[in-house]
Amino acid sequence: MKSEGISQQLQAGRDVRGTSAPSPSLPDVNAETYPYEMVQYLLDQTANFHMFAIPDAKYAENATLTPDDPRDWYGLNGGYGLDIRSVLHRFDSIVQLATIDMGPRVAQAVGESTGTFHCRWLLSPNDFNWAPGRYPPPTLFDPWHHQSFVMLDCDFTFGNGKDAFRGYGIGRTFPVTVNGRPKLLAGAVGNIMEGSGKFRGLQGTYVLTGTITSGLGFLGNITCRVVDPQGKLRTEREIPSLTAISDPDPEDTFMVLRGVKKDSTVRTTYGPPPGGGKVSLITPAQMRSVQYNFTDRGPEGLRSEKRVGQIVISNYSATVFFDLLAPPGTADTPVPFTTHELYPFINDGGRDVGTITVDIVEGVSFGLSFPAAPGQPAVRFAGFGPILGGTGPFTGIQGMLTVNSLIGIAPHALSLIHVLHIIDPDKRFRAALNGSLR
Amino acid sequence: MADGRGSQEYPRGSSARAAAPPSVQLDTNSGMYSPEIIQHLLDQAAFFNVFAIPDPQHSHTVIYAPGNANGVIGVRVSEVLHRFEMDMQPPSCESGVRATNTVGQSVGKLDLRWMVIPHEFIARPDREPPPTMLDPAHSQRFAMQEGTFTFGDGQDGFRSFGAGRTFPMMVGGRPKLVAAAVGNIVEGFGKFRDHEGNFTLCGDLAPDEGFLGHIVVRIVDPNGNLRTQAELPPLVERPDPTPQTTFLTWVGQKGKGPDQENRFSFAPDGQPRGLNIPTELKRVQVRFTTQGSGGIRSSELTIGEVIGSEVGFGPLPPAGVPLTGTALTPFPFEGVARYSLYDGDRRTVGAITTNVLEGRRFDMKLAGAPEEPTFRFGFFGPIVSGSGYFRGVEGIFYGASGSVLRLPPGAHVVTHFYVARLSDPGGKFRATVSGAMS
Repeated sequence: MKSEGISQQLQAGRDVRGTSAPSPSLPDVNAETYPYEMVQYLLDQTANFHMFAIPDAKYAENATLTPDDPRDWYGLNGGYGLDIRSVLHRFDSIVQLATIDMGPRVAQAVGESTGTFHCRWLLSPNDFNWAPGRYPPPTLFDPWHHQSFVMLDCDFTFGNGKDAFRGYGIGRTFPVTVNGRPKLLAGAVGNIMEGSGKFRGLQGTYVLTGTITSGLGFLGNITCRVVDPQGKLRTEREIPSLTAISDPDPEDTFMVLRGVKKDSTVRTTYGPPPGGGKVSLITPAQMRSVQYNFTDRGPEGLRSEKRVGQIVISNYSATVFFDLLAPPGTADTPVPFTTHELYPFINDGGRDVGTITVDIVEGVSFGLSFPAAPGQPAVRFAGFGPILGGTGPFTGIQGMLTVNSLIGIAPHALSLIHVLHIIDPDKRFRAALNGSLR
Repeated sequence: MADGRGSQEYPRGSSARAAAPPSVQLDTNSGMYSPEIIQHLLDQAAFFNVFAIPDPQHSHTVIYAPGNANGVIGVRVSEVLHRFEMDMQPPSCESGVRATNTVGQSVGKLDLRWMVIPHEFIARPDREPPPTMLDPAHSQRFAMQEGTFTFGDGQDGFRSFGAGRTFPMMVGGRPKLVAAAVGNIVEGFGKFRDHEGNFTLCGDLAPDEGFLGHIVVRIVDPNGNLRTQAELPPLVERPDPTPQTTFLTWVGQKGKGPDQENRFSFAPDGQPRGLNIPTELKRVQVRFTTQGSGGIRSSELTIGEVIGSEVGFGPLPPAGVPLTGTALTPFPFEGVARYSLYDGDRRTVGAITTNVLEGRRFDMKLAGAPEEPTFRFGFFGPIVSGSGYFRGVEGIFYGASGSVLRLPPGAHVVTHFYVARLSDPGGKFRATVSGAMS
């Protein structure tokens, strides 16, 4: 499969009966290689970790980019990169239905610590692409300028350290101004390269959105999604609610949303080709509130559960730009993509309340296969990008979007995790924490 | 800091460095002269610390984009120059790091035309920049297209050209647009005739008010006509125009011993990627006057005890990049450095890490040793982190220097005149008693 493009996979698939292809040269992404409901089920077999990262203040003064040679001052933290160490915490950010006046609100709480995140972010030229193991040429950190970076030696460790993984990724900084004050956002996407403990042998993707603090730490949300067909990291049992700590980031609000198609009749269509040999796919989905709970406590060890709200928060649409003919992405060579996304939020009467528009500027996708459904094309994909603007209660909004998703192709079933990171110094989008989605 | 021989600023967003191996034009000769002789020759320079305050007698002229009465693209300002003295107290664990800042009597004038320029624009005195709108919310580059300094009765002075950047910052809860720039003398007159030199400025820029800040001018003065060893008339203190800002100053010079030798930094592929450069930091005082029959003249640098250490890194340029620095095309460089200040018992009081985002190096002939590879240069960049007494500090670091540099194991002789401009609304870094050196 690795040498074949998605279109080739599609042609080899069974029961190709879709009709939505705009031209004979493009495959029908809605065709059902396997039944839609089956593919949707397979896509949802993931363990999801919605976490909050708080900088380890004690670490900053010893941070270095050259731990093997501290006397090489290329490694001075904050110069050509950042040596990041954050403590990972449980995190709830439950979206409540919008009202006409105020838009949606988020009941947000950071809970107990569950692990650590350590990574070296090396600044890179903007055209330095995904290249695990390759160092970028020295590029100086400039907090006032958009910059790219690579995430080398990313170590996620949970609980007592037995369950862990190492990853590689890429990211960008986004300087913004909030009430006249500079603030430096960072977005990033990474891939699990090697796991241990419960992560051994599993594939997964993680995304980050947050703030680079004045102490050169990372403060924000990390969403990790692990393909888990055997349920090693999932549970159906209720995980106790988190124990909230003092809000470490009162200025930012994070809306976590789960997106799926309404049903199998919803078609994905081709949009105008963007050029460069790419296609555009227009993908509608319903966005609901979701709670990704996890813990490392108790005899079962690290485990996650998912609870999805019943009410649709937004009838969302994305236009995805990618090379349909590229071979399925691998850990070394993922397939890049970009998107243009529109979130029209609705109230309980279904009326439009306001919109948010976002462009994913850096996205990577990896080929995905299911032992239970041989020949079913699918990808896991993740990325990030800046919020471009909004209407209604979102007028003047700033922030970032991360996506961490799995999709089938023929049928084009979706299992989307989106996090809208909204800079919210006045807490316009915050609600009191009032329980869970149970 | 890296002083430009082995350092290079590159266009953002370019991977030129990735494609080309570093060009190490090894000039490792030990030289014909002892470091002590070279140091003496290098220090034949006059320093003028002036404080620029908008001239209330002259209105500033805002320059608008053609056909756009709201689009500011530049400003023509008239400034009154004042004597300015910064006297550091010896750092101590008890009282921290503090300096007196004293603005004195007027000594001259400065007329400047600032023009905003695109980020990648290569500013030159013979090239008018394209109209570029000022955006106070974002960091932008600018050219000081015409700058005329006059001192005393106007007979002495120089015309200059320079370029720099704005940095939106928050000081005392109010947004400020900080400007920093490096300039070069294009033509001197009066006592400055036939002198070469450069200056670095840093202060607040407001198009409707002008520039309010410090300028350090370093003039190569082999014949001593701009210096005196006689006692200078005292500074007549005037009200502090920037009480929320404190300027600290020190010099960096090479000490003795192997720990003061420059070393190559090697990338993981074994190729040299830059230079590691240490120096010793020392207290410094320098005064000047325009009063009396001698006209404008500065004291010699009075260099005091060692108060700290510097460790820094500057990247090597790629192959093919011209290494020369001329008045029309100075050699651009960048680098990272950490400045640790300690007390008399060598206990660290605090440290700052700074990124030189813009350095401009000019080649010169050193009088008395013309075959030595000699440079004068200016630089500036943000303080990216602080520790100890400097924890949480924000500001800009800048300076003006002279050096003779050969690549390792060759000799390096340097005198950096460093200034840290700190946001200091609480007066944490201000001393009330001068730390004057005897």
